[in-house]
Amino acid sequence: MKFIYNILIVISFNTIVFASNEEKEARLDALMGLEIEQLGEVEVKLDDVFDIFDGLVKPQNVKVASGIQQSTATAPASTTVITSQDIEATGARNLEEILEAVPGMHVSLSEYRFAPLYDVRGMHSSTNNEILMMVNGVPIKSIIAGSRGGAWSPPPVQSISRIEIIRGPGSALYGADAVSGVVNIITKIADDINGTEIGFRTGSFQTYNPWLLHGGEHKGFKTMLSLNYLDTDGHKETVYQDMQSLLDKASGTNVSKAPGRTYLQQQRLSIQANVSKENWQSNLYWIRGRNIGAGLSTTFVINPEENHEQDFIQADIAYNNSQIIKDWGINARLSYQGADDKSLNSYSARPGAIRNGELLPYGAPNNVGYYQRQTRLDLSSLYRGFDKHIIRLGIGASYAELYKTTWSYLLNKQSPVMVDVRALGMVSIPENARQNRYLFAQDTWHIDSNWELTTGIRHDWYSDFEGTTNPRAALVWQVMPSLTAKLLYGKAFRAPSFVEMYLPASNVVAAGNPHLKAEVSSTWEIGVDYRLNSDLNLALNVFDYTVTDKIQRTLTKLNNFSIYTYNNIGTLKGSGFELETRWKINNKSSLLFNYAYAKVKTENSNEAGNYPHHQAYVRHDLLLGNNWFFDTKINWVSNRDRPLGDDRPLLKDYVELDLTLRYKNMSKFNPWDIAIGVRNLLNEDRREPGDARLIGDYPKAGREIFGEIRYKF
Amino acid sequence: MRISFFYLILLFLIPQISLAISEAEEYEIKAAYLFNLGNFIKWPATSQDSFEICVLGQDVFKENLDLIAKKEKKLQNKLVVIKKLSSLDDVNQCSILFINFTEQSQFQAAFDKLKGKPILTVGDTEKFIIMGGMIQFYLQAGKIRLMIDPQTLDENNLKASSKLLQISQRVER
Repeated sequence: MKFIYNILIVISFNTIVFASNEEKEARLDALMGLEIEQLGEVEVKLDDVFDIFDGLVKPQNVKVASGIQQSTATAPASTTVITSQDIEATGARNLEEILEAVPGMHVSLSEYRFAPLYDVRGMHSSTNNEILMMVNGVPIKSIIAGSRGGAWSPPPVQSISRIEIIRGPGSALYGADAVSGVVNIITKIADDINGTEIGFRTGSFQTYNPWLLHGGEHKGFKTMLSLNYLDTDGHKETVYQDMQSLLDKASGTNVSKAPGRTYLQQQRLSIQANVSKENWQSNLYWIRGRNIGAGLSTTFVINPEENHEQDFIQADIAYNNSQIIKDWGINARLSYQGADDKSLNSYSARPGAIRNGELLPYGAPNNVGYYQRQTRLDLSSLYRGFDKHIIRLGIGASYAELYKTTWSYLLNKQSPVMVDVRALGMVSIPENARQNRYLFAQDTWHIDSNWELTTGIRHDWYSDFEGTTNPRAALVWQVMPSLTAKLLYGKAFRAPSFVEMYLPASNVVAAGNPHLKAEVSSTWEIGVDYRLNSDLNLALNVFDYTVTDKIQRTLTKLNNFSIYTYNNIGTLKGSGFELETRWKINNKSSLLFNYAYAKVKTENSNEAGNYPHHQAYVRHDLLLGNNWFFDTKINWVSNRDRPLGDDRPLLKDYVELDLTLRYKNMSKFNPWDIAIGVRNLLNEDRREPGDARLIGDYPKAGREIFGEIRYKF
Repeated sequence: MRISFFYLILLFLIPQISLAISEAEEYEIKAAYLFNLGNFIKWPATSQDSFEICVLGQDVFKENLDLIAKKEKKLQNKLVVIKKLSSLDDVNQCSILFINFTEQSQFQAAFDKLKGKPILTVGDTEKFIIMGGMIQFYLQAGKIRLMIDPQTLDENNLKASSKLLQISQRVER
């Protein structure tokens, strides 16, 4: 009893000591009382090393807004930075979990694999091609659908150094598809790792994820290597209806697998390497996916037999010199990307279905394959010779090619013989190529110590659709050292994808339109960043955008069957705001809170639907004792309307509650780092808007647990 | 009763003594180093009557330097003045200059300008010394240590004491 009493006193005493400012003075006095050699023996306090509490609130630098390092407060865009410390503290296991923290971003789901859609400021589409994803500055883009493509998967979380995000337009700098936002994932280099880490993560749904991470110098080359293997069954939440259910209803059969689970298993191996020496650096990212389940597939049908084989490679070599000659800096990069995706047993009708009056004893299976490769050259230069201006100029070109599109199916539905129909002149999508060239210029004008004006313009030429010019301007006013205000304007565009332009009507699912133009947007934003004190930061961004010539999939009757076609017919008008608070409560805890509101209407002032009007994100970090970090995350998604013509009941609001407990002994440099966590603790049935023809929408995972262990040497 | 009371006092004292010496915030330790360096470097004689410790770029020390300066009023027999600078143009009076930029090119510009001036440049950016700085803090096993480039000091008419050289890791550009 007495023992407990004493412990309690010590604990409360320590708490008081830590919290008081007098203690700081006492510590400084004590430090000044030491000899200089003794200073080298004082240990840096734990939270300073792990830095999550200070790290959350201290000013962050960002490069994505202009290509120049600037603080997020003064950068000429609405930006968010997520560091490897944020990733580690929150125990995020994938990119979806990481990006959910971005104000105004909501992660929704697509049909294929229920792959994430990163919807920003209420902009939702099933391909998610209005956001530009980059890895180390290289765009990740499938020319087929304009999405990121099935073969690519994000770099594993442990190899990510930081992620820089623009909420809003970025085409004046990055070209196509930077309409709703830009995400640049920057991976770790040798110095970020400095040693070797082996780790293993396991959890619900038979998930096994071992990895190895290494950073060091070999023969004068700084070398980073990451190996990652993921094997999971994926969640098995219920899907209530698929296209086969509709066919069943029309023809009186009962062969659909819905309601039932979908198939989201995957086995993926990835290798990532970075080698650098002086001004040169080279990246390689290779992914091989096997036995990949398809979710609702591209046919909107649950197929237990369907699986994909996917391979992806990205390689680049870059030369960066911040002072190649006096006042001139240069960046040059040559990059290559290759992806192939083969889907096997993708049924558009299940065995036993009756379609157009014909019984299909073996169903209507398809084996489809795509190969694509892209080569791009990007050059940019920075001139600092003027007193008050920094000029950035860029030029580049890319060549993207879709080749070897394979397709086989049962030509005679009464006999189970898969026929390669290319020989018959039939294609799932025709082989094709696209060339793009661009030029951009940007001026950062430091008007005086309080005002800065950034202007930029970029023109893109394309070989298969009309080129576009996208200007932007940003006026940033440092009202006080602690208060920044900015006014932003930018135009952006998204390129029509090959599916939207060239999909043949014989495909049954949809038909392309070769006369499409780019979809364009213009956005106004006002941003305020207020640093109340060194421990509390507030930011508010208000936006208003218009998207015109929006490419929309509309249902058209074709031969008694509903089919999608694509046209530049839509208009979207969106407005709203994002509010963000970052607060270091004390040396042992911090709080991040953001709330976003969005309202998006179509041309006739109808609700665009399928996005949350309100969303909020709370993250609380707490240091327990000296070595235990406890992180709580709450993600609230609310008020999602249906678009016009979609009369299904409204989607339910949901709250996702995630907890992570991490043991990390910094003081003794213990090599072990262990975490356990639970995701969706409340086991909420989280649904994301699905195809309007099907009831039930698409499910996210229920409650999940995981454990993680890392050893560093 | 008396023993228990004594025991309690001991409990109060132990954490205070051990904590204050064994553990501190990163920039508290670095601030203490910065002051200490004033005793281990020889500057050429000047007529200036103050000893300026300057911070250029983002101010990571916050109130630490000022709190120390309140008590440790003199270095090299001169009154210590702490200055937070925003531009390279104001560095001429500095004896010790802590530089904390975000971009490498800014460092280059700074070192070009400081060449030949008897100003002790200190930083904690990676490659600080390689880029042309004199003393660099680095983290080793959770403790803050020093790297020094005596040649750069020499080129700027500064001299490090043998004790400082002894406790620092020597680096050559």
